[in-house]
Amino acid sequence: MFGRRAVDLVKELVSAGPDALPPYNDEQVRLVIEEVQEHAAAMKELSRTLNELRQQREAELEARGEPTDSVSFSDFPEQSSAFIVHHTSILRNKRLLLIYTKQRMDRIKQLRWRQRSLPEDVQTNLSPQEIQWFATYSRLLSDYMRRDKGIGMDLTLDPQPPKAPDMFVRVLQDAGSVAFSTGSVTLRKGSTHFLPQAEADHLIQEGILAPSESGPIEAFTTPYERI
Amino acid sequence: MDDNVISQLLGTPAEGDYGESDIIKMRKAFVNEKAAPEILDYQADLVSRLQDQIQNQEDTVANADSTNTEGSLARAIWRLELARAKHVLRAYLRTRLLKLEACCAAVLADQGMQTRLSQRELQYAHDLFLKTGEYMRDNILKAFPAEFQGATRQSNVSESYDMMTRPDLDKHVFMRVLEDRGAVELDAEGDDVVELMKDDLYVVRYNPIKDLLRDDWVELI
Repeated sequence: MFGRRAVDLVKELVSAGPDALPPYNDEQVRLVIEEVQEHAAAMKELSRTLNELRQQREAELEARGEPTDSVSFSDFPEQSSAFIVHHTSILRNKRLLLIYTKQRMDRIKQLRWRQRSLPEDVQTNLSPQEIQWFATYSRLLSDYMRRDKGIGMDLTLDPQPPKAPDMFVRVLQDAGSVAFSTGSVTLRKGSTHFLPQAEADHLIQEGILAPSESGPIEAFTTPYERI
Repeated sequence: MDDNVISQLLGTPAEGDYGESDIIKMRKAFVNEKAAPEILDYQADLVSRLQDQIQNQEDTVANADSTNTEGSLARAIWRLELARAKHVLRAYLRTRLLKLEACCAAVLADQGMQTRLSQRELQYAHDLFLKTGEYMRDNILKAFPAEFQGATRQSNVSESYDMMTRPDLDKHVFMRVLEDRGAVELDAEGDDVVELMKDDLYVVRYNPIKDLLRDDWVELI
């Protein structure tokens, strides 16, 4: 059936979940493009036949001395409808292929809003062009947000309204000594700190810190509460 | 501590001394922007005023004396207010940018929509459209037959840009009336007329009220 492969391609992406990036299906994309090229070849062949048929008909009419301008492609329904089916199939395949590509591009864009660099596990699922696209988009967005030429604000920060200017965070990875506006802090794995939220945000994005509901004092009290 | 002491402490005039503060205006602009299906006028003055105020306030906070109790309380409140102001400003610009991305081809094809963008947003839309187009062409479209290679038309026989996402102006929005406006026609034939009075709430199609929104008769919620 025409267009089946392209539908499968889109279905594969849909069934993976709304944000997931399954491996780029290079093979299937290539097959769909091949299908399109077959359609195009068939269309070329058909349009040649149609033109020949019309010329034949025109010649016949001319021989009988009748007007030739009434001859149209609808006089050959078989070839014309085949032509239209091929045409529609190309449009359908084009639409589906673009949906597949655009969806993946959008999902990659979303990753840029969540973190600055591509995580390893995602990278293995992308085609080289898609990795390139992440870099392109990242540059575009960074240029817009730049301090000198752009708006000078990082829009990827604080997607949620702030509740308090400072927050408790737990350190997930050793990051050495980091300078904050409140002073320099040594981030050692497992320790808890009270930091300005705006400055902790990008470290949370990078997975170095995690927001902690309870501060260190509450953490001390938990064993007693359990008893 | 009563409100007077707090406002004295913070050095800001109490509410009612002058109209709405810029941060409240910004919040309204953000809510309007978030709820409207199309991109609204860019609030250039408001954004730059708020950016200046944030800068000033940041300096004040940095130089504030927080050695005594009152000073450190004031400082804590300032910092939270600052964080909120920054958040609203970012959220406003972010919402606009994401809306712009969703229909960037339609914006570039329409002069009227372009006038509503800031210079930088326009530049961004331009670049993004070019890069997206390039990506589509290099990875998919260049393998197609020549007459199907367009990125905004399905094929060469399409008369208009039939592959372009446009904002859906007929989407329904929630709105509140800010001033008594009187009778307003909600459709072209004029058989659906409503009397808009202050503080009324409505769910309406966006298209008929978009001029009212621009002229501040209503706000979206």
